[in-house]
Amino acid sequence: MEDPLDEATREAAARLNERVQRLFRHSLHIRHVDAGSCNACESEIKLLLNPYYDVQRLGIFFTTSPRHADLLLVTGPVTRAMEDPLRQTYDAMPDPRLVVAVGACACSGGIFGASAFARAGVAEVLPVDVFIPGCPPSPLTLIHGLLLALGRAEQRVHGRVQRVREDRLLQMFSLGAGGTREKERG
Amino acid sequence: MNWSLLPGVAFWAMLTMYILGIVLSLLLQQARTITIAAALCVALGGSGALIAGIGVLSGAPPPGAALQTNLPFGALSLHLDMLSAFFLAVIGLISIPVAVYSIGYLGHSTEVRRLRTFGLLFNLLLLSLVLIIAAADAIVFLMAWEAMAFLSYMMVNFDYEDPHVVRSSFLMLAVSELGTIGILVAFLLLYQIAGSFGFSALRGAAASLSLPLRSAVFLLAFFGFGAKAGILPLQLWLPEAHPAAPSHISALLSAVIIKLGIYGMLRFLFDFLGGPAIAPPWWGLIILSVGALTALVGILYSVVQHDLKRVLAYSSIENIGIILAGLGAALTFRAYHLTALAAIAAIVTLYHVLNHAVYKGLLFLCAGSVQHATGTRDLAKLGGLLRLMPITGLCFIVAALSISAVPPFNGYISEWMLLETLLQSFAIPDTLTKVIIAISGALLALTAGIAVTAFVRATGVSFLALPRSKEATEARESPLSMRVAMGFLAFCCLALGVLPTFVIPVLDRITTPLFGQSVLNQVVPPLFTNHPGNYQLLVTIGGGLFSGWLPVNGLVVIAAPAFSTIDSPSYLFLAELLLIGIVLLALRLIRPLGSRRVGRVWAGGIPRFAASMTYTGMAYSNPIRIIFNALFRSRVSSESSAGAARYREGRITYQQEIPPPFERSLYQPLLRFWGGITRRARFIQSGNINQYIAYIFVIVLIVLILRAI
Amino acid sequence: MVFSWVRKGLRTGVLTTRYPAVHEQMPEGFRGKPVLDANRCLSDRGCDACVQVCLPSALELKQVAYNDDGGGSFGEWQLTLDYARCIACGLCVTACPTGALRMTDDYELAARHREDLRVVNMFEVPTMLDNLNGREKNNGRPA
Repeated sequence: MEDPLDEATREAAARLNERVQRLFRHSLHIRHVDAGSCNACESEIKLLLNPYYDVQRLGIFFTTSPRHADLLLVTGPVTRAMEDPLRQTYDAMPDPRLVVAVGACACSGGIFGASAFARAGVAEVLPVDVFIPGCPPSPLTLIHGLLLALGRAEQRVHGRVQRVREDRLLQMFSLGAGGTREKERG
Repeated sequence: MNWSLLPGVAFWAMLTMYILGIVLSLLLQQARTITIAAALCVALGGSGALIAGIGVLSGAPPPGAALQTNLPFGALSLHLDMLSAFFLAVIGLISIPVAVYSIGYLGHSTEVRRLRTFGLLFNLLLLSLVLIIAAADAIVFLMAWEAMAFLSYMMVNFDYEDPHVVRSSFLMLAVSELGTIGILVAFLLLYQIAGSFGFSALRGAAASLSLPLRSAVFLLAFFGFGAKAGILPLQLWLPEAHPAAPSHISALLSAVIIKLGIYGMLRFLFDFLGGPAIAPPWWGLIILSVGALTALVGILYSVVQHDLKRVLAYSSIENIGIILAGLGAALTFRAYHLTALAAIAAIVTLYHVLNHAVYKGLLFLCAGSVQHATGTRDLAKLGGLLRLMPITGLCFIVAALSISAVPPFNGYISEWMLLETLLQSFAIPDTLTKVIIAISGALLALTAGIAVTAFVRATGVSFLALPRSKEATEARESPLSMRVAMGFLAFCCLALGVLPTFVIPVLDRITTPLFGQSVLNQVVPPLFTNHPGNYQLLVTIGGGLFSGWLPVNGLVVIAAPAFSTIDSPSYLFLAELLLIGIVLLALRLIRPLGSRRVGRVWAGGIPRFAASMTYTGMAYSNPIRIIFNALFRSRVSSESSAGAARYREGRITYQQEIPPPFERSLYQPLLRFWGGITRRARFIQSGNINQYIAYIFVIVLIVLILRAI
Repeated sequence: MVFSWVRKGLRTGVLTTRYPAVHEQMPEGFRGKPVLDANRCLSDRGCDACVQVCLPSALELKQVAYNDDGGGSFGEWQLTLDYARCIACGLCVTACPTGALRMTDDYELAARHREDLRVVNMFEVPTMLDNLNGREKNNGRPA
């Protein structure tokens, strides 16, 4: 993957990122915007506040006003009608601010894809800090994603390009994501 | 130069200025020059009044004059004692900005005849006001009073083409004449004993009146002057006349002319009928109760008005109620021989007269500026004017803060001191009196809270949000003279609020001869001296700041000597400035984590901001209307056309009707009763001349018979 | 009323999950992240069962041709699994004839960059040009 930024800028960005994460580490206020989602993601997001998952014990809270928000949580592929309100919400948030795309639709357009009625995901409209795939992502996935944005969790998926030779005799380096116990499926 | 002669010179110069203004209005030819000349004469006369008033209050020898005539009335005399000097200073202070304002306000008018009449009447009106204040005998007083009533009627009638204006001004004249009857009879009752119309003679006469007659004089004077002041139930002309008049006249009316009613009451109650042996406590209690009720009803009606000037007119009624409450408290305390408290209450009353004159004048001038720029006074059509008319908006906000008694502006100190003084009633031995004073205090506290609501509504709906009509969108800031006038009064609001310890000694000099003791050292402790006295350490240290720099006792005010309830608006103002400075410095020093961005107002991400989405005045006042509906007896109707209920094409019309106070309960029954009597008596006027000759014959016969008996 | 709530709460105890301090095990049958075992995949030999069945086009099969410097022609099949589009329906796992696709119960899928969610498997095919006829193995759906 090509890195367009030079060393100094990347360093500055990393420092800023670290500073931001330190700010929000134990106290994060989230503003959620539904940019055309089917609401399955919202059903999972609302479970975050129930006694079982209870994100408030992690210092994560939901707020209604973008003026009070640190992180913008977006679901849905960003329909044409919601594009401007989404931008307005983002503009209303004071710096520093984070954006997290939740669900397959927000990450990539999902099963809808790009069309005349929606964009292919939030990344086409706003700069996204964390992508949380899933349809819908379970509450634990959401917690992992939010903690990743705060620097309190490690990223587990890494995109890779792996070459497979014709002979297939060579074993490639590690298959699948390390750390999870995989079950054999027939 | 002998400074003590200055007030006298100023006084006569002022009278000359007004006469010069009259002459110039008649002689000059061009519209603009007439306006400027008349306004300048009034302004210079006002300056003279201010200098004369302040001079006499500072101790200079009071000017006066007497004119001997061969008329059976006796001498016509003028004399400025302390009370007159104070009101003269108030008139002067307000008439200067009003005059400057009128230059800009009438700038576009080209009708020479109307402007000539205006200049003439303006100077005559102020001349009559000054003569009322300076009068030292009842004849001058009454003649000037009638002149004032008539002249103010004519000035309110400036836009005489509008039938509504004609009706309103006539109503004002009618109620004023009704009041004059009361005043006349009161004077005559005193004259019966005194034998002369001079004030000094009338002063001595009151002691020899029997109690029922004294009470009659009291009631006649109270309701007679009250008609001019606008107390309940004689307030009906005020909300009509103030909006109908041009704005500078409204300002003069509300700030000065209704205070003349208060002046009359003070003259009668403290001067003629002064002394504890003469005034039983129930006089004070009546005034206090009427004042508290007037205040409450006034402010409640102020909250629900849709015309900006009617809001201000009802608010004037409320403030008159507050002034009367202070007056009543002073009388009650004096009747129970608590002269120190009575003097403090009187100081509060006078302070509130001054404060109200300043901020109500400012409010009316700003409302006039708004009307001048947009052509409308309807709150439903205004909006967003703060950006288009920043100076007017800022002055209106300053005045609204003052009238809501927010420190460090001037309204705070007088309302706070009044409430503190009323709380001192525990010293009175009689339980019923204490209960009445306590209830009145509670009503006044409620009034203060609703006053804040009324002015948040008036300011927010007219100046904030978005313009609600085409007229509001096209508003432009007012001409320079209007802005200067408003700025001057706004500065006075701040100055009178930040430096109360400069005003209180002056007021104390007025009350000392009336109550026999000076309360200055109790109210403004002499912390600037070397031996400040027995105060807590913190007060002594803090109160000593700036000692030696300012020619006053100290900068701390004590409203209730028994409790040492201490406040210092001066230090508070300094602390506020310091705090603002620290906050600004901190904001500068703290490095923000992100960039500074200027963005849109957050409104939920709606695509388009429209004025129809903003709060209306009716919606804001609706909760108060509902809670107090037993008083308002409002009628609400709502009609929706066919499709409206299903969110399709259609309209919903909502209408709220709030009749003026007492209209259905008092005035209409009274008018019906009176109409019935006159209808029945109409048979006397038959039109038959023989019948009239028969009347004459019968009357002459009766007179001859009575003469013989 | 309040006391019965207190009693019930004391009986049930604390139910809150201790994630992320303790890894939480998902129940049997949970569909998390599908993983491709490239050794068993037959996409370079013409199998496109998973691509045909994938609803959001998370699986894409592309043919890339390039020229070797030595004058020969090479091609490769690229099977891309994009987790950003995957809806974890499991149809690809059912459709795969060799069992190369496996459904795991891994749920920690968040990533900072979009590219982190793409797994590209490139199968080198050192065959002649005639085998490469530019067939786009995505059945016309946008790549």
